[in-house]
Amino acid sequence: MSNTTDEKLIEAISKDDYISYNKLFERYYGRLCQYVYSLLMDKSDTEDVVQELFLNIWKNRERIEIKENVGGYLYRMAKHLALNHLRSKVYFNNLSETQDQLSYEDNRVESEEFRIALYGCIGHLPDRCKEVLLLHRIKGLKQKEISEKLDISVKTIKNQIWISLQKLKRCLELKGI
Amino acid sequence: MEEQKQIKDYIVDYLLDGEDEKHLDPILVEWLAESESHRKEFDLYKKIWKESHRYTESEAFDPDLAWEKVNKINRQKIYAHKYWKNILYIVSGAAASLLIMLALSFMGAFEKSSDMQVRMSADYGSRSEIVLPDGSLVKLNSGSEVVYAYDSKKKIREVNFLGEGFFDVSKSKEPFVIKTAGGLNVKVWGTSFNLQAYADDPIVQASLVEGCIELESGEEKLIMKPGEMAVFDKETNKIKQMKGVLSHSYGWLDNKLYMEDMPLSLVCKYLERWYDVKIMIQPGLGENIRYNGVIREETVTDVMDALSRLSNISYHVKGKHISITSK
Repeated sequence: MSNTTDEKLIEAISKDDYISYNKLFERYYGRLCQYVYSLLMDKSDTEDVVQELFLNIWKNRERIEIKENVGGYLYRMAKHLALNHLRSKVYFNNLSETQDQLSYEDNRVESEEFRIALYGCIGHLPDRCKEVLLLHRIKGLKQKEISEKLDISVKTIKNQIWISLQKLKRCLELKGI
Repeated sequence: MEEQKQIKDYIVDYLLDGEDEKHLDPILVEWLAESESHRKEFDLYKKIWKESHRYTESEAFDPDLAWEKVNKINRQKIYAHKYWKNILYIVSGAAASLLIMLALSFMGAFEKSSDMQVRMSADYGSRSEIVLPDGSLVKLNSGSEVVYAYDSKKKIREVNFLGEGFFDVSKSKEPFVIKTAGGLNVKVWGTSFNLQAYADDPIVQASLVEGCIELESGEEKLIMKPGEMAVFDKETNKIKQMKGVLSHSYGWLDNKLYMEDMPLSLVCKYLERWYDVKIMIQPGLGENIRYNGVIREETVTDVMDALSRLSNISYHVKGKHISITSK
């Protein structure tokens, strides 16, 4: 049962199958959050958006017809909802920062596939590689800080980063990116 | 080899130093100019570098918590809009008095060619009732699921069943077979009976009110007569008659829990299913405290109050978690 295809799940959901709906949720909730977070950069907004997406699916289950790849459809729906969310924020708060973020995101339609694939690949990096890469990229730590935190030499950090790049490159190639 | 190693260092340094194209090292510039594929490779690294900035672990988002929210809203909608009037085979929702959370979890009917499949379940903390396409009635206790399929070629009514249910099977020449998780099959002719077959219990219990049913697991067989009760041991695969008060086995239909020398641990197991709670018992108490009598209460705290009056225990509730200690 766990190997049921996404398409089969959607078909069952359209016929009121709540268990399949739950399965689809379990399969995609984390991944969609990960993606939406990259657009909104806010954890609670992200969860609201992805939950709204799943509520929509159940609400409109009778009308749902997905001709293409289900994952792709869900990501696009997520993106659409996330951008709407940003727009409503601009409308209510007139935040110039959000405005910037919005135009930034609107211009980047082509990169969503790359981003989703990349995130999948980062998830599969060996722990050490991932740790070093993320401390630098997300926590913004300097080489010296990473070196102290993990008690490794700067040379090792550079090595780990190079290994990460190689692995990510290969992983992306395998995904046809 | 030597050169490759250096290039790798230049690339990493470039990325780590904040990607300043103006200060590209001449050696890197030269390498990039060498071929289109070098440039492409370099651009890919830059893109990876940039995009990884917004990465977050998917584990940072708790799917269980989220599901609880989504599930709750969906259920409210199901009740508010009476979606299920569109669904033919479902007549009524639940024995409402017990419900902590209204949770008719699931309904669906879909056809496979000419064959019909109907599914329904009751979550922990809820009960539900379903009329199958052949007119049979099944009342589901908490944490139960029934999948009904009619095989039009073999002319068999077949049900996969998990949990506890009271079956009122309509009379028909076509056999009605219930399959349980423990490997026990129950063949039914127009009749009513209670069947308890939870996946996490070591036994399956059947209590026959009227008509005739046959229990079968491999070579083992037992034909039951009205008023009889039987138990199937999943481990030894043996089917045996058992003594007891018939009506007590389906007391849950009236929200009653009959306890005959029932250990606290077993009482708690029932309560966990019925009220969708988790109960922690202080070690040593579970098997030593035993109850006789019948409980009929609306809420789990009422039940806990009753139990603490009957014995030397006190309880503490925190959300869905209850801990029991001796007084």
